[in-house]
Amino acid sequence: MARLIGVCGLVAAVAGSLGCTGATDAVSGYPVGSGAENTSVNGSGGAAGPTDGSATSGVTGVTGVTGVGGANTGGVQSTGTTGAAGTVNLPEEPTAAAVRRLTHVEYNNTVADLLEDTSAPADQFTADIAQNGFTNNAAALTVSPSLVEQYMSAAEDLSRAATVDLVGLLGCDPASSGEQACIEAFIQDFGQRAWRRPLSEAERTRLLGVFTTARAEFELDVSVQLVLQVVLQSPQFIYLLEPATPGALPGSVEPLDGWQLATRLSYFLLGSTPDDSLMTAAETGALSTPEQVATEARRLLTLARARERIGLFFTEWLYLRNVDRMVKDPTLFPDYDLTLGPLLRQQLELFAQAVILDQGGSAVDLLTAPYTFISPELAPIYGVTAPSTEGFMRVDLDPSRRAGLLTHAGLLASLAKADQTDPVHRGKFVRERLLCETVPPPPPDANITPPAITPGSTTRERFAQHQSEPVCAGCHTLMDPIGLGFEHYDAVGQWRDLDGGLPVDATGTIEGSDVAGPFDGAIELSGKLAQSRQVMNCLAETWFRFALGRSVAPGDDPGLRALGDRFANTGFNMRELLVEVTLSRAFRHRLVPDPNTSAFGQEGQ
Amino acid sequence: MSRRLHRRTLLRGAAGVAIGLPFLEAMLPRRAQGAPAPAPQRFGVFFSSCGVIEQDWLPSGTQTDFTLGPSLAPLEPHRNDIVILHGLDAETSYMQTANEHDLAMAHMLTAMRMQGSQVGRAGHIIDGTAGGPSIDQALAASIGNDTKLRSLELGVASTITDLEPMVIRMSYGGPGDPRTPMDDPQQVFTRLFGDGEASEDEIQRLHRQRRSVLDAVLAEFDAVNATLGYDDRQKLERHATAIRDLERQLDLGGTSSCQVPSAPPDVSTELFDCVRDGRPNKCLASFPEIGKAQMDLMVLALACDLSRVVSLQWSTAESTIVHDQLGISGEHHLMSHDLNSFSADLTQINTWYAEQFAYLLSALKNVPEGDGTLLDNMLLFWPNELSQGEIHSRRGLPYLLAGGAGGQLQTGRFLQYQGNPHNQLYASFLNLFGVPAQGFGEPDFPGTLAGFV
Repeated sequence: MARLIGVCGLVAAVAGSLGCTGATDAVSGYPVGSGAENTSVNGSGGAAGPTDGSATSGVTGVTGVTGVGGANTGGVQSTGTTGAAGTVNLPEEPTAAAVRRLTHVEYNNTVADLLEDTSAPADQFTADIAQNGFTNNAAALTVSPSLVEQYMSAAEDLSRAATVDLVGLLGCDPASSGEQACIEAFIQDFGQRAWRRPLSEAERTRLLGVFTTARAEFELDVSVQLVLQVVLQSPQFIYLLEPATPGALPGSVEPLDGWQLATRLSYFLLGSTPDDSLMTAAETGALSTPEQVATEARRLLTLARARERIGLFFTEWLYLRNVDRMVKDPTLFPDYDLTLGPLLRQQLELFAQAVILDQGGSAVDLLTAPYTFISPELAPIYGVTAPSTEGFMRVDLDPSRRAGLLTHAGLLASLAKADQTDPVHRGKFVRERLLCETVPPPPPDANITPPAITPGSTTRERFAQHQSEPVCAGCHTLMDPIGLGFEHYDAVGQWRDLDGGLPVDATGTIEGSDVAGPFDGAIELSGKLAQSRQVMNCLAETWFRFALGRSVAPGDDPGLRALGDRFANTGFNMRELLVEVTLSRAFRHRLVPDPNTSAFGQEGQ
Repeated sequence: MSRRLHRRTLLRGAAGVAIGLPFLEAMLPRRAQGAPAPAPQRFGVFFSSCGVIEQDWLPSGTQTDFTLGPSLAPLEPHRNDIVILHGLDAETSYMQTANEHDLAMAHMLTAMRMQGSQVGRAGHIIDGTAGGPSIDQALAASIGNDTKLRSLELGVASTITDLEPMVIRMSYGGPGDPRTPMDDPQQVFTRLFGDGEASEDEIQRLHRQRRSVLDAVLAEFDAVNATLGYDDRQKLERHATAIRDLERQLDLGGTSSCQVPSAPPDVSTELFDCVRDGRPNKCLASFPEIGKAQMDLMVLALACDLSRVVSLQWSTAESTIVHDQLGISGEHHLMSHDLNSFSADLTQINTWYAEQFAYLLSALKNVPEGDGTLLDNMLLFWPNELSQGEIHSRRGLPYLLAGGAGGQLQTGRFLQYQGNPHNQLYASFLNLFGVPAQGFGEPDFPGTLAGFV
């Protein structure tokens, strides 16, 4: 227990120091470089927690607190970027990026774009799990034997469906142009689209060999099917491979080639295979400069798949899958039923997509804009007049009650129990998701069942023990006083003035961070968070993790500081943040791995 | 070559979600029903979470003359087929510091220090993985070579996507190689009997096609591997190994000793994944029904000799399940930290799991093999990642075994140990399956378990 309180005390201390201008190096605590910090959790215990506190907070609050409203960023301290092109005068090293397989979502998108097959075969695969929040984290994307079987079945089904219109698939008629020539052309063209780069001569020869061998025994369409199955089960399709230049020095850093960069761009922003324009850009060397990369990134952000991708980011970042199938106490919330969950999630995605893609992209808006999208079913929860037509319509909300992401009912309801609010998890959510801090688990002997609802008491009263007991207060001080700020929203996210018959008290405090201090209610809290450089840096770090498909490593610190500054230079524009991520050195470069030694210091990670 | 029965020509299983024993009897494999072929040895894991209430779980009495406590009372009809094992410690999990649920789950079947260094939310190791293979996979590497599947991992609510991986997975081929259980009985059925509707000729043709595809895919893996760093090559090599295993399946031929059973009723349409109190859950009693379907499929896979190593993971570690079927409204893990209020509920949950275990034993006993039953040729292991959930203790673990392991293991016993490392139990398991081993997992805890066999 003492260890845990100590950890919380430390988190608080670190967070508190973040407001101090110039605390950069002390906060980071990491030497620049990569790999050295990948120590095992083994050994003389206890080191993990404190390391964590600085690891997750180290990139935040490194410059002074400044106003972040609108485009006025004149006061922001810069660590020396030269604008969007991003020549950074800090040592910033890409850390070892593990090869990762496609997520199931990416697999579905990819086969849809490649074969116009929208059967979503990966929906039948054993579900992906998230690591550190995201399903595209390379560490979570393991391959069990059962998944290998499912890849085989999917490839077989896809290939059969694709050859129904054989001439259409091949792009030539074997009967008129000759089977061999037609198949060779198909392998070259389809192979390049499927493997996201031109095939080597050896690869083309091998695939043609598959066809020739098959054709000796099987029909033409079956033989093409077998070629397709090989393409779709090969590592060049299933994994995002970035082989180093032959002869490159292990441990050195080299830029990605155009194809690799196109692939990173496409899977980050679209969750799918590069489209024809992007392939052409890769082929013609039109991804060589940061300006060119930015141009492509901005183009990709106009595509429908980018909208989906942003929706997925928010779903995973905010754990919105939990919103889909929430069960609430039917006696307390008779009007709530399961059909509302998916609508509440969709509402959050629509809001985020609108802010980022349609309404200028302001991160401040994300946290404070007093509008959302309402369907007739959701109108009662928000106490607004139902739109007369089906589907979602943009609706302005009472700005004293609803403003920004955090006051959306789906989020608040998912951070609640079936029968009451959950200030602990609401506060923890703000700490973890918006401030990028971690809060340790409760000590094992703590009673963590929520207090029973007693008539005539408020939630605040029932959770008072967390503040009065020193054992609890060490950590709960970080969470509950934030979470209690949401007390005006009940367990399904509806506004309430009374809790247990008593007036709601939604005052709270943020301990630590660059916006420490008291506030009254979620609107004020959201306003404070929107002014926090730590929150903005957290957003940048989170998008960075999603873009790279991995957790943040110590070597990323300088790059993340630079990214935070560039984000500030955009006036905290989320849309431009996505572009800035693609311009970061880590996104455009790779570390040449050692062929003989594990980067993890242990065999076989 | 006889044309096997078309799936649709067979009778559907019993109505409703549960398949039940009548289904199993109807589907018994031809060989298992009569053939005296020497029976293969099987290993199984049945996992439930969150520890036990010791005074309710622990039997009283002596090694051979004991009385079962309320938590294990449902096993009374099977008392001569079980070994109750108390007092082993997962001591390896105290060699390192991390979230204690991560540690408990990672060490439970591997008995080895986990890997990883990045601490994330709630102290979870977010880049973590097991330090070595779990005992089921270590056995599969040895006894899984002759069956379609080297091992079969089943789950009920094992994939809770908003928990971190270390508490989700229990079975590992090695570091970075978690074995994902299937929570959907339909998926399991397809995996076991997917080719079932084809004629023998069609199957042979399909297998020739698959072989040429898989050969070519392996050639691509070889080509790509030459360009990668050490870690990525390890990852892709595991994938290639699984593909080689598919080829091995083809070598075994298309015939199974079983006729293709009718598909289990569409349990998946009955599934109800809900989120209660912010955590994914199984609602409206689908949890027990999925579990029953999975146990039936497990028995079927063993009886048809499609796999000799099976596991059933009811939940993640720190189970988030709300046991509606018992009228209990609290989340299992949350209740396990409040014995003052919930110890009766917790015992009720553990008793319910014992009922499920008893059902599984009955089903295994219902399959005759030689002079005995399938259970006689099996070693079924029921671990828990914790002993006392309220303090996350991994000492004095409540373990239970069933089956005679081919007559090697004397059952009907209650064995009490004084803190032997659980590594020793797994070394003894290996020996029971003919694998010479002086230890298992972390080398600091060598030896086999005295007095066990």
